[in-house]
Amino acid sequence: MAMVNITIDGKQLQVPDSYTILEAAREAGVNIPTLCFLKEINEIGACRMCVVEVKGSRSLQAACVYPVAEGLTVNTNTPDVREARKVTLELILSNHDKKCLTCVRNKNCELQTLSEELNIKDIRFEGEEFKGIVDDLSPSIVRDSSKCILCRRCVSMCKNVQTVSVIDTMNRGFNTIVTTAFNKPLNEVPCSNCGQCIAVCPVGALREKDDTDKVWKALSNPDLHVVVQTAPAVRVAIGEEFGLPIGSRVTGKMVEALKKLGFAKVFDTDTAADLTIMEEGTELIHRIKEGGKLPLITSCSPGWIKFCEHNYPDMLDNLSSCKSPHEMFGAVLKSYYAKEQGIDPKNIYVVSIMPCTAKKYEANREELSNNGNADVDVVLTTRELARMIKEAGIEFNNLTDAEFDQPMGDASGAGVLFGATGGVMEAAIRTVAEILSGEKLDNIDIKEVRGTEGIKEAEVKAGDLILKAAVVHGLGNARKLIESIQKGEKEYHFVEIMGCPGGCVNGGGQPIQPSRIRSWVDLRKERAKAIYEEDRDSKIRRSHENPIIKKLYDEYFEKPGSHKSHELLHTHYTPKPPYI
Amino acid sequence: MHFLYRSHVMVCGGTGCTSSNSEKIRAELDTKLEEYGLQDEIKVFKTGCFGLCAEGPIMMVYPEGAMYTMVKVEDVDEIVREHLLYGRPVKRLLAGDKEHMDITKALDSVAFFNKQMRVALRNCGKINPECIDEYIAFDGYKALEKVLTQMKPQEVIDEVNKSGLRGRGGGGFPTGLKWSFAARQVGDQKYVCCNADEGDPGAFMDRSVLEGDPHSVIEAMTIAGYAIGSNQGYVYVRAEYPIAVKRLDIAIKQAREYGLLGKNILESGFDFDIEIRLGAGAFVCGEETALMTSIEGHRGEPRPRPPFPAVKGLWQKPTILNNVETYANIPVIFLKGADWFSSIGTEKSKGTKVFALGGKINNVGLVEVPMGTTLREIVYDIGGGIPKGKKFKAAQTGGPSGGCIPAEHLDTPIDYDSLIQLGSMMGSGGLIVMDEDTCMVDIAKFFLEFTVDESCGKCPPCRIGTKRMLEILTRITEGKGTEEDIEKLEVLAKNIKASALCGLGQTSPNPILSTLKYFKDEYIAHVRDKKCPAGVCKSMLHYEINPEKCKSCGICAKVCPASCIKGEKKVPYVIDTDKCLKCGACMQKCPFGAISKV
Amino acid sequence: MTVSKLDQIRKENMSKLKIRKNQEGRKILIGMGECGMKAGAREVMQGFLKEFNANSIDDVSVILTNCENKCDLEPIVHVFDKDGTKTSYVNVTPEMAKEIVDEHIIKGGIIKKYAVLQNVG
Repeated sequence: MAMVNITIDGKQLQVPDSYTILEAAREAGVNIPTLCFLKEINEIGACRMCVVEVKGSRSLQAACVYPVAEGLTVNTNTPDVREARKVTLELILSNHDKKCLTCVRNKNCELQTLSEELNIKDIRFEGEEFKGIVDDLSPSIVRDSSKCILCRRCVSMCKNVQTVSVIDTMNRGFNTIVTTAFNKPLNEVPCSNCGQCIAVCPVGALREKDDTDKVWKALSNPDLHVVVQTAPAVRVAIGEEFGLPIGSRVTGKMVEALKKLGFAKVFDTDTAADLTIMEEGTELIHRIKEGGKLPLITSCSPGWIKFCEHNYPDMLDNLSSCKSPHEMFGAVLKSYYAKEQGIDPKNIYVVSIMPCTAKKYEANREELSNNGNADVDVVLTTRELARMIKEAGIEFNNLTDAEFDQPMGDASGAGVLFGATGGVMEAAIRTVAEILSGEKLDNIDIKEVRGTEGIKEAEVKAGDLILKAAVVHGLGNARKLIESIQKGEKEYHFVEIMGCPGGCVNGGGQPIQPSRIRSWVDLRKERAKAIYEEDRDSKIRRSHENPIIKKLYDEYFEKPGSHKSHELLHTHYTPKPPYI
Repeated sequence: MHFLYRSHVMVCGGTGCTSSNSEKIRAELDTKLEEYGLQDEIKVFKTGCFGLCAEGPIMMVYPEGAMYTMVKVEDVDEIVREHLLYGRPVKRLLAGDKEHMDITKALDSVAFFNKQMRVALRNCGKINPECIDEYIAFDGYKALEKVLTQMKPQEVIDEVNKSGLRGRGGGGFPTGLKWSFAARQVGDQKYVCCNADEGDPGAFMDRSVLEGDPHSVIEAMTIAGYAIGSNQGYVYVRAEYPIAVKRLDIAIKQAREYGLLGKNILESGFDFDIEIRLGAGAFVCGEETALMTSIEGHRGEPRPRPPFPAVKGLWQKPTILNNVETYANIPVIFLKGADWFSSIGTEKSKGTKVFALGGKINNVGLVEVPMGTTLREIVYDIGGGIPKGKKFKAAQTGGPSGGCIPAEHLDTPIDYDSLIQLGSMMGSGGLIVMDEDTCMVDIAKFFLEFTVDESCGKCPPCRIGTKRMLEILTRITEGKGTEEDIEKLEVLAKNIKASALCGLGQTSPNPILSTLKYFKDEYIAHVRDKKCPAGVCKSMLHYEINPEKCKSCGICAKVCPASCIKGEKKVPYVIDTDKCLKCGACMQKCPFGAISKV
Repeated sequence: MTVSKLDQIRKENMSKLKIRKNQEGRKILIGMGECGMKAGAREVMQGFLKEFNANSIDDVSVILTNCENKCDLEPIVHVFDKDGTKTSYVNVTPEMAKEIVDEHIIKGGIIKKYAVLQNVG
């Protein structure tokens, strides 16, 4: 990689020749404003906010895509450049639904930020506003194209990263709109509900379905025993909604906030994750020993499940029949816990706080219920919980730490790993390897499955068996791996697939960071770091050593894979057509 | 031993003449020739555009070189009998000097023809475009022969450089230089593309070349492929040109049959083949990177440059893209030499240019003149001047990306640089003439409407900016504009020009900037006085009956579709301006000229 | 396709299409009109065409003209040489046509016994 000499705003510097002007300017201490730019996801030079003056060019050039070259001279702050950016922004604003006060992205909107930074005092060019459509038929995602600025980040994410490709630009010119084929609602196209489109949207054109009203209603219903469980990824991210640094561990504060909100019990989904490891580990060992369908593929990511049902129905038999942890927990709460506590399951209202928008769809699945009583009643994303906390006037940052409630408040470190890519695999290996070998593992930090590499492979000695494992995150990588398995190019015993890039810590329901942070800080790494620290600091780090799990089997389920387990803790899948 | 005919009758098979039944005329000619027993002596051929489209359908009889214009199917019998059988040309349909003693010289005095220099259009009207043998007979594929057997790729590029040929699609980029950029790239795959998307309203130069001489493009692309090291070409044709697509398709198939496309062409070891790709109704796909994106199967939207297509183009491979007319010039450069080509034209603009004359001009059609010909010569000598004796107001070049040239610049020699200095651009060759009855604000609005419709929508300056400019212009033409609106137009124009992603957006303000430069008084009249000096913008004019001239005949009231004229015998009629639709029917029908537009 | 085959195709077709190139040069004008037709000018013309085909003469244009009001001299054929010299033959017959082609057009010698008017070019 060669270096080149360039001049930015009169300052000379040397940068790698693979840089764009935008990257080079950062090194010179200049933050060129951007709007459509999102590193490695959307680099198309479309919005024209990042225009700069390049010596020798007739018109202004987009800094986010213009490559540096020896002798390049750039001016980022001339009067003409400033005027051009302002006019472009005024044009975008003139075509935007400016009801910021009632918008879900109020104060976390890249358009608002730019308007403030570029000192927009007046929108000189008012005219027709393109109205577009509002689509709120999906249980997970709401689209509102009157707020869309056509940055195309969502299209790029859905098409290039997730390879789901259900949204794209339609029509042209002023009438361009980002929408689905034939303008169908999202729930009638093969959308996986992963919500990654929301995560990359700079404005409020895409948002999660807001179910907080349901929870407020349940909380004030004296007949209901409202319990809440939190996914591992929530505790390492919700702090960001309150201004804390990325990757802050705020488990104690989160539990305390939930208690203050009025939930009868605050449980930890990690506990159910341990249960999932027991069930799935047993399932894996059974398939290996009895010649069942391999590889066994994890099933805790509902985005991946729906993707599989639409695109690879012949792989459905490879999926683990285990429900996802929070669904297992819901089933346990409405059976074992209801019995123990003497509460009618009909009066137990289970709320899951998830980093995930697909779980809203998952909770509504018919199969995930018992006698018409859904295992989980409502799923809230991390963002919705933060809103409830703020609405209740709770000062999050000043809270004292609290502990999860018993009787099911203890989880192993393996359970918390579920939040990061490779976590399920690592947790499973800790248990399966020890069961198969009959010996305790010396090192339970299985580093080969950690990290942000798209497809990771590991081979672990488990007794006489060399367990061949693969871990993928992001649906695009899932597609790649599945196809290489189908073609016979690859063979594994066990595959972990998480629908979101980086795993649940970067789920579609997590706090949204603007491009100016996301492009330069790897959210997946920072939040995953906190996950591994939570695991490291746990007293128990293996699922099968969790006493609550032992108790559950002793007192209720008998053993993993028992008839009762299958009744309550397992499910099935159905192929789905692409379009309805 | 071959059979020679004593006469060839060429009938134009271009889109214009075809829509005026030239195919039926051909069929009728065949029928009549049989009827009169002439079918063994005389043959009818389909051919390309003669250029005099205002007078189509056009027919040419050889060997006399007698041109018949505005031929109808009913005229064919007379032509066959009188001219072909009896040797008595049908004077009323003849072009040129009908009374000339020597019919072979009838066209010599016609400025429309004798002031032109047909280089790119050399074969249009001369050959049957659907017959490769005819192309070959007229020196077709001779240039390719020379290139493949006697020249090295670098020598080919040198010759094109020497000729001074510049891109005819509008950009005017030196063709040889573009080829050299691609040639020096190292790679296993390169592409040669032809831009036949021709989207400028009123432009049909490329269409005529493809309909009349498709092999010239094929031959040129093969030469280009040899020069840069590519063996695959694509012609991107707009789908709205079905005849051109058909002719090109036939030509490619014939070339392949003859081994002039495919493997080991003329035993040189060089392979080259061409495929057609159809457009799908988007003007923006005439833009270089959008065209390539469209060929790749994606939405035809432009991509940022750098990297430039010569380095990373189609499928990220080195690609050259040239316009149809540019390619049409290539074989001639190799046949007659770069020196010959560069002896035509001006210092920086060599060769000829094809213009499509449209608008308020008598000789609407296709003309080709050496660069440096003045606008006055084109409009008056070749174009035949303005119909109905009206005064010339301006000529628009460059379509929606160009600007207008007012009367004071009629003597400008036309070349790439002189037009840019005037605030316009050469563009692809559309030349629209406007007279005193044209409102320049309305013209700017017309071009903006086109741009707004065709914007791809990727970047806000064009997607929203052009819409805002159009909204302001519409307000102005409706009498609701203010002086502040003109300032806003200028701000928008300046910034859209600077920030837009591609040429469509960057040049979209040109019609506005150009009309503001030369006709600001019209804008001022619209916003300050709420008047349209040319009498075009309906909201600002009203029809008035002069009571002194009105004879109360009542004809105006009878023809008024809005029934808004009232009057009675001996009392002057009055128009209710609130109900008036401003259709002008009353003014047209008034026998006393008592009604005027104010 | 080789270069020589291409050249051959070119030559063959050039011959057929010479009629379309504005050739200053050789042509024959045959008086037609109704009286020319009655006098047999069509057969004369066809005679010329037959001879041209037989001898592969591809650079002499055949143009018909209206009757010149010299009805007793018809069929009239004016032969124009390359240098513009005009030779008029009157009362031409198809047999004379053959002679004119052989002697005048191919060999370049004016047939004095038939020639009536001659304007040197």
